[in-house]
Amino acid sequence: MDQVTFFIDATGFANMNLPSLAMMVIALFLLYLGIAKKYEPLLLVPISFGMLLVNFPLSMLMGVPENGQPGGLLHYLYMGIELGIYPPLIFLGIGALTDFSPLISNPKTLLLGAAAQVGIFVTFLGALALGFSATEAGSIGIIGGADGPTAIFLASQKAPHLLGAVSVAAYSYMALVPIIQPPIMRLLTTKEERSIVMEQLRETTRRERILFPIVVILVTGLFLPTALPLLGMLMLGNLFRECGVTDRLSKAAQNELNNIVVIFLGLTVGAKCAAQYFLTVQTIQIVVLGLVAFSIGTAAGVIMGKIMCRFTGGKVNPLIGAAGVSAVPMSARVVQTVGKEANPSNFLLMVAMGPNVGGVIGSAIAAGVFLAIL
Amino acid sequence: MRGLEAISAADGWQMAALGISIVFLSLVILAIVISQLHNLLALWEKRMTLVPGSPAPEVKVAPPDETGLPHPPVCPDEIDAVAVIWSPLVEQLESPFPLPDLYRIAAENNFPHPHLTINRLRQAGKLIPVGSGRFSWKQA
Repeated sequence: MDQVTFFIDATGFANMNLPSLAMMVIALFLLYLGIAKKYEPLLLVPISFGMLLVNFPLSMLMGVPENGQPGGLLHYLYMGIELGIYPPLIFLGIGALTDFSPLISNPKTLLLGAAAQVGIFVTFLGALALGFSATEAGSIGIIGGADGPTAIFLASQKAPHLLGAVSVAAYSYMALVPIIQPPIMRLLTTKEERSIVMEQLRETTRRERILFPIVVILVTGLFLPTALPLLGMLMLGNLFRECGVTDRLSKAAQNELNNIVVIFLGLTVGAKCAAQYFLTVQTIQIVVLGLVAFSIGTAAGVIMGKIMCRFTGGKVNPLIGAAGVSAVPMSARVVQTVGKEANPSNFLLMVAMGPNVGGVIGSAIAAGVFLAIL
Repeated sequence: MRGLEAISAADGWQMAALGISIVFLSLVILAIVISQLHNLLALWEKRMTLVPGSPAPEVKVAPPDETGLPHPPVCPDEIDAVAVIWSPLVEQLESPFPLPDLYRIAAENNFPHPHLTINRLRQAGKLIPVGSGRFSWKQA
């Protein structure tokens, strides 16, 4: 009889509590969004499943090693985040997947990528005003960059206790780009501005594309060494892609390596969403501040687009500024859709890819700034 | 501590101003350098002719392109002719496809002016939007 009682006490049913149950419901809801609604499924599915696993009562998956017993599986996989390994590896894959030609042929669009980072720093101030510490505020502000790996990298280095909330907020807003951005874009532009047809981009040469990652890393590496883990890997991946002699490495970075790291990253980020860390007022504040950051970033990009439109005599469609947030290629697609509504013959996708990939570089630099000054 | 007092106590104003300045400055420098990249490369190509009395640079003749799909060196004016040339390229993609994928394989196969041509094909209704940024190919 004692053995039966012991067994019952050791089940999840006997140890279930309300916060864990709530987190399991949230995890199942996120799983639904990922599978049924296809919101960033490649990340949301492993994140929500990790969240589900770690919130089972008596779950040992994140357990630390003690009394000579090894820790849980996810505890060891989490080392990849804690030591800052996974996000740069994801950047390696992004670099290998990204064609920077639109940026090389129209480098002034980097300014739009810079303007869209304003939301990060405004939200940093907002988070400080709400009572967060400087390191926490930086980790929350970076959500405005709309770049999941960057947000995870910074949060893991500066505020690991907020990692779950920051990453869930970052990926949620990346998935919600088509819903959040268009009203802001329409609010800040006139129909005439949205209808502007932009000059087509010039062709770039192979030599330019090979030199690009080398030049970027020389400039940014000397300027901001703290951005090197992310930008270095991004540019290495791009060099693999463009140099023409490392096709196998490029394909490995794009596919196998990227997929493996995404699984580890997603699972372990979800595993940081244990009820005691996630179900707090702070999480709600982070979700709201993330939305503010993302909206301000979009607005700042569009306003910079309007300024460039004015200075170039109407040659720049301000909508492309919204692509300065680095949700690649989602925000460029949104620009294309909104531009097409105003002028059905307009084709802004490739032009918007310039600020879009510029935003990836911009948000990595912003993260480097926070790493350096916080 | 909360509000403006908290921002001041953490040197938030200075940090935010510094952060925005660094991001802008580094990206402006990067934009300037990248904008001069093709000029630098052109200068490098002409380096031998810039030195007085030096022999003319050896002109390399590109070997015939034996890889990729057949294509003319320039795009025909007639859009239907363009569509015929691009059709085998599109067949390599799973329909519907995003335009960047079409651009990528066009560039890989050295098709001339892929960006302009995709734009022309789209305007001519050869590439049909099916939503979510994806397109299908209108068969002739």
